[in-house]
This record gives sequence, structure tokens and C-alpha cells, in this order.
Amino acid sequence: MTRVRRFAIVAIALLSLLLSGMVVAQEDSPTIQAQPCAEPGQLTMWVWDPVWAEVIGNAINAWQEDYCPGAEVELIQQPWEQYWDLLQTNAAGGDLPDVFNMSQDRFYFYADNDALLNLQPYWDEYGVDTTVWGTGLVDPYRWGEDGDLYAGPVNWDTVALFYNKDMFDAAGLDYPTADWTWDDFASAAAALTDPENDVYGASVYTEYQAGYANWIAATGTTPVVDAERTQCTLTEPGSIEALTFLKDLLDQGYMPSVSIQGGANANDAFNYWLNERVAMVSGGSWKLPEAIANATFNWDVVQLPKHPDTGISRPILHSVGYVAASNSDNPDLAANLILYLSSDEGQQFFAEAGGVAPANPALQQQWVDSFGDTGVNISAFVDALPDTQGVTPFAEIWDVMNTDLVINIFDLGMSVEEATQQACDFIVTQLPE
Amino acid sequence: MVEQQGRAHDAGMTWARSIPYISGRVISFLILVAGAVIMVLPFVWMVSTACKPASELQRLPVRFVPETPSCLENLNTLYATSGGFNRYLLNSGLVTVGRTIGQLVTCSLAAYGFARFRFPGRNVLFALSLGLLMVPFQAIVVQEYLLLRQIGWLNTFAALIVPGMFSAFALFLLRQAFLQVPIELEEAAIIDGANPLQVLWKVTLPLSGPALAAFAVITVQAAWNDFLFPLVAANTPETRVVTIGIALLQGERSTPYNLIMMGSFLATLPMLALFVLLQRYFIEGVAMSGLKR
Repeated sequence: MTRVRRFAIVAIALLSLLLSGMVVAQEDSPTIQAQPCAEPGQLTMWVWDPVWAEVIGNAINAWQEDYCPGAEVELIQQPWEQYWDLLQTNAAGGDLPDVFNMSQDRFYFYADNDALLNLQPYWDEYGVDTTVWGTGLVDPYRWGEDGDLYAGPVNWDTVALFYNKDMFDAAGLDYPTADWTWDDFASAAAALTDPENDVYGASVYTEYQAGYANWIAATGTTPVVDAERTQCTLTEPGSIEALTFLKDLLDQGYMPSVSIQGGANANDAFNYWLNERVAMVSGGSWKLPEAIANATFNWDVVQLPKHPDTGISRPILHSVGYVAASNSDNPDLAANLILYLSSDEGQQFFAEAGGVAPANPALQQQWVDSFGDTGVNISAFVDALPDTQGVTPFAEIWDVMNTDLVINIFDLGMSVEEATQQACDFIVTQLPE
Repeated sequence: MVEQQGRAHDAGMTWARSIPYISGRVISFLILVAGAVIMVLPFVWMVSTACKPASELQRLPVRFVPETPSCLENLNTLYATSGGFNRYLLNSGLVTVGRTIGQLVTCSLAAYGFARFRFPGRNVLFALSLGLLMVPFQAIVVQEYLLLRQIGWLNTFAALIVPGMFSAFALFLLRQAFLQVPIELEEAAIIDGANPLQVLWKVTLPLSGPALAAFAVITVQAAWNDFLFPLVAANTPETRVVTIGIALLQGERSTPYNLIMMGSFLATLPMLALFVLLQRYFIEGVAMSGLKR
């Protein structure tokens, strides 16, 4: 009996050890595993960002060494401002690069014109569970009736509230928390406003991605256009509520107008914050390196405030992807390279480089750590990931929603109802039939 | 006494007459100074930004003199990040020289033909050539790209130089200049046995010096500053020109204004030197053609 009991105890101990080992192994096991290419060949690849070009270049070298010896990749950085024009010109000539960076808001155009390679068969073949990437990250890159995934996500960025701690201290206010509601935010903005010194409480309305659309999303309404691109949502109650809330803050003098802060661009608002003219600004995770390098005051970031009724803050999330051309001479090789660049190994290069965050969910902490000991709550961006709003608008309506709408409401004093109606009148003409 | 009074009277008159004259001069100087400031300010701002560290780029209030001058640091960073800025400058130089010489040859021959030969359809052909001036390049850039692709010239120096070897503007400028050359001189050469090419080479061209210089200056400037066509036709690191090299510094999320301005400053230097040396021809060129490019 004793022997049996001892045996049982040992067996249970061994089993639990084994199980815990499995759990550990499961945690350690890569989310997306790179695989060797079937046959090396030649590829051209385009990227638009000088920093990424270097990071991706290093990743490609590692791919060639470890997974595809003999493969040749001509990596070309194109100027960001002209990237989409060039891509369109090359698409017209049937001359797209084999692999290239794609943006969520442009994907639709290329997928609709059959210019992109369907990567879903490759994800299936490689055994990649595409649901490991959050929905906001990859859903805008799904196409067709079965929702096939046409892109490997590169990175993501989202929006949080940057605040000047010195100004909060001077006003005797507690720092904002992730539990803040719109009401907490509005009362803090009022208390931080100092008209005598031209200091404003907040600037959070500029352009779609870093501005007003985050507030619309928090009401539960998809900002500007719905996910199916069938209607303009700016005139819906959620949009009106969010924009009215922001306009009230402006009318009460707690936010600077477009003219005062020098432009309707998110960079203008952020620059105003860096110059200590405004206490709180909504800013993207891509602004972290700039703030760390240039802010001359104490500051921190926190998730955007929650809507008082829905209880959510749903920041806009944008993700850049790798796609392949449908007429590539080497589709298998292109897909293999994209697999590597999206894999744990390939994404390490982004995680270590800092700046924008890698898409791979397993590497978020590494990205946070890449900034070093800044004392800034960089995790606020990662914490926001579970409930984010993917980008649904597209290039043709960019100017209307980013510039015209913002200037009409936040500079020219047009009513929210009139400005949104005017914007929707144009946007509906641009929706796909 | 009377004479003295007369003189005083004259002086008074001159003085009275010169008040509007002086005030006119002062006003015109003020306008000129304001114009000069408007023209020079962007250049000063470029140099100032090129020497600012990143932390000072967007600081308020605006400062022209950087607190921590960082010219050398920015220069080093530019060369470290741009991946061959000297190569881009060299490529721009090659393209500029190739296009200028090419235009000189093609346009002077064509302009001489239009100026001196009578042939059926001459005016129609000339009007058609001038019509090219009215077609914006953006309208034909895709077609030109497709053409270059078909003949296998994409990403070569031939693509950058050969299509730029003719210019309707240069044709017009040179034809006008050749028409100014007295025909008697050319006839004298013909009587002496010169053929048309010899006449062009030995009589007409030497007598059109200022027009040729103006043409060269304007062509050099246009070729050096060209952006859209090189972007579409030749965008590999080996064939990239300096204007594209500067554009590459801007990322989606970051605009290093100091590096971009340092790059622009370096790219402006050769043109600036050219302008200082040949500014008379710049003005003549614009005045002669009534066109500015």
C-alpha cells in the first residue's frame, strides 16, 4: 500500500512536472514559426520608411542565411510621399515588386484589382493560425468571401494620451489613470487651462488617426465609414456625440483651435504639447521616440479616457503589412519571405529596433523594453491592444475627413451637424458600388 | 547778388523737385528690400534648420540661430543614413551634363532648321513642337514609363538622359536667337562655300553666345532639379539622383527636417555657384523667352 501510494505520489509529481514543462514549453514555443524555402530565386521588395528599410534589410539577411541560402532580394526604399503613386504606376505596367509594404487604407484598391497574391493557402500550408494576430491588426487585410488573409502584418501603432506631469503638479491634480472617463478628462482639461499664459488643457481632435476618430470609436460607432465601406457614419449619433463633446471643450477655451496650434495635422498638436502650450495630447505610439528625445519636462502616457456609458476607450489601430504581387514570378518564395518577416524570428528585428511595435503578439514586452528605462508607461499602448478600432477609411476621402472636417468644426465654427453632413455628402460619392 | 538769389532759387527748386524723387527712391528701395528678404528668407531658414539638433527643430518661439549648432553632426548623420549621398550627387551631375549636351545638339540643329529653311509644313511642325510645352509631364508619365519598360531601359542612365535630350522650350529659345543673327553673314559664308552645318557651327552658334549660355543655365537647372521623371524611370540605388535621395529621408512617421535641409543645402550649392557665376544669363534667358522654368 505504502509502495503503491509512494508510486502514485511519484507518478503525480512526474506528471505535474511534465505538464508544467508542457505549459512552459507552450509559452516558449514560437507563435509563428519560420520555415525553409522550397527553392531559392530572385525577389524585389519595396518599403517606404528609411528606418524600416534598415531593419527589414537585416531580417532579410538572416532569412537568406538561415532559411533560404542562395535567394537574392533587391530591397528598395521608395520615398514615402510618392510611394503610392509609384506603386500605382508600376501596377499599371504590370510591374509590381514581388513583395511590398501595404497600408490598411490602401489595401482595398489593390485587392479589388486582383493585384495581390492570396497568402491564405500559404498560411494553411505553413500551419499558421492567423487568429494569433488581433482582429484590428489583420482584419482589414482579409479579402474575398472566405476572409482570406492577403498580408503578413509587419507592425502596429495605436493612440494614447500623452500628458505633461509638471502641469498636473502645478494645478494640484492627480495624474490621469486608465479608468478615467470623458468627464474626468473634461474637468482636468478645464483645470489645466491657463488663458493668461496661453496654456490649454488638451488638444485631441486633429485628424482621423490620432484625433477625433478615437472618441467616435469609444461610443461604439465605427468612425467615418463602416467596415464594409457601405455608408458614411459621421452623421450617426455616436459620431455627433463625440464631435460635440470635443467642440464643447474648444468652445469653452480648453482646447486650441486649428489656427492657434498652427495646423490641423496631428504633428501640429503634438508639437504644441512639446512646446508646453497644452497639457494633454492624443498621440500615436510612433511619437514615443520623439517625445523621449525632445520633451524638456516630465511626462507620461495613459490609455485614452473611456466613454461614460459604453465604458470603453477604443483607440484607432493601424497596421502595416507585407503583401506579394499576384503576378510575381516567384510567388512561393515571396510567401516564404513574408512568413519569415512575420515570424517570431523575423519580428525580433523590429522588437529590438524600438520605434514602431512588431505585429507579433509574443514580442510586445521586448518592444516595451527596447525603449530602455524611461520611466514612461509605454505599456499603455500594449494594454490598449485588446479593444482597438482598425482603419476603415481609404485614400480618396483622406483630405475631407482629415482636413476639411477638422477645420470646419475646430476652426471655422461650423456646427457639428452641418460639417458632418457636408463631409458625408462627399464620402458617399466615393464609396465602392 | 541777383545771381546768388537766382542760385538759391534754383537750389530751392531742385530741392523741391527732388522730394518726390527721393521719396520715390526710398519707396522703391523699401519694396526691393522687402522682396529681397522674402527671396532670401527660405534660404536662410534652410541653412538654419540644417544646423539645428532635432530637439530644436520645432521649438517655439522660432529661432534663426540654433542654440546648439549641429551642422557637422547633421552632415555626418545625413551621410550615414542616406546610403550614398555622394553617389546621388554624382548621378545628378551625369544626368545634367548628358541632358544639356544632348539638348544643345538636338535643339540647335532643329532650331536652325526652323529658323532658316523653308519646307512644307514648317509652321505646323513648329507649332506642334511648341504644343509640347502645353502638355503637363504628369499627364504622360505613365505612358513614358511603359515605353521605357518596353525597350528595357528602366533603371538605366539612358532612361534618365535620352528622353530629356529634347526640349520644346530650348527649341523655341534657340530659334528666336538664330533669327536675330543677320542673314547676310550666313549668306557670305554660303558664298564662300560653307554647307549649312558649317554655317551653323562657324557663324550662327558663335553669334548666339548669350542665348546659348542662357539656354545652358536653364537646362542645367531644370535637369538638376528634376524629380518626378527620375523617380519613375530609375529608382535603384545605383541610378538615383539627389532630389530622390533627399525625399528618401522622410519616413511615414518622422520627418528629420534638419537632415532634409542639410541635403537640400548640399544639393543647392552647385546651382548656387552656377547662379553667382552666370546670373546675368539667367536674367537674359528669362527676358529673351518670356518664360520661366
